[in-house]
Amino acid sequence: VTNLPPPEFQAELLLLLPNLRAFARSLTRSGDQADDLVQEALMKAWRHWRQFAPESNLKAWMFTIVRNAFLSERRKRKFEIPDVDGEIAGQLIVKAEQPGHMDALDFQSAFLQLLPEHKEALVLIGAEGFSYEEAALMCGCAVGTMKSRVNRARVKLAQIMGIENADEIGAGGQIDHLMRAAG
Amino acid sequence: VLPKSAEARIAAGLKQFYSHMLADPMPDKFTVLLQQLSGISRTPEGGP
Repeated sequence: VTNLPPPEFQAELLLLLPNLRAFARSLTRSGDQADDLVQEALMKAWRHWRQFAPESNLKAWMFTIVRNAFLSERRKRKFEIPDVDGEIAGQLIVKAEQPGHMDALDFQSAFLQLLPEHKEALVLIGAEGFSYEEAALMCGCAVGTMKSRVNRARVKLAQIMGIENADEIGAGGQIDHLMRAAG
Repeated sequence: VLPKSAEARIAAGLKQFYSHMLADPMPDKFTVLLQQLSGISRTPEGGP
């Protein structure tokens, strides 16, 4: 008798690694911290793979494990402390020499100032392409709460980036299309 | 409601930001970890 997860489970887990690391990195303040979260999540998934229902969504299951690991770690280490000078600049992922870096740096600086629940909502919906229903289930909140978090995250980003009062007023909902196309 | 231009910049920024993270090379430690997990998993249940 072995505890080895089936090959298809392992293979799918491997394919998810970049997404898990990106999600973890969007939640934390450093790449090392993010990798620690993903390693912890992998070990939990390996130990408890029988709890995963094959007909359900492994990606959502793994993202939930990463998120729970993050929340647990945050409670222990209280690493969501107010930003200090230079902290945000030190964690930027897009470097200054890369093409289009100014917009990217603006976005990153703004993103890193969002509340954790706003970051995860934006990433889950806008970058990873989960439905509002899936994201709400993963985060243990109502669908309406998830929609509100995404909207607040967008507005806050626009405020920080100084683009909330541009002249052309949109009809709303366009960003959903753009984000899904991006994802 | 945000201006269209703001929505577009945020969508583009998120895409670029997340794409960079997705493209980040995988550290060797994950390969090692998965190999170790496979080894551990072969240990019979209730074993050492």
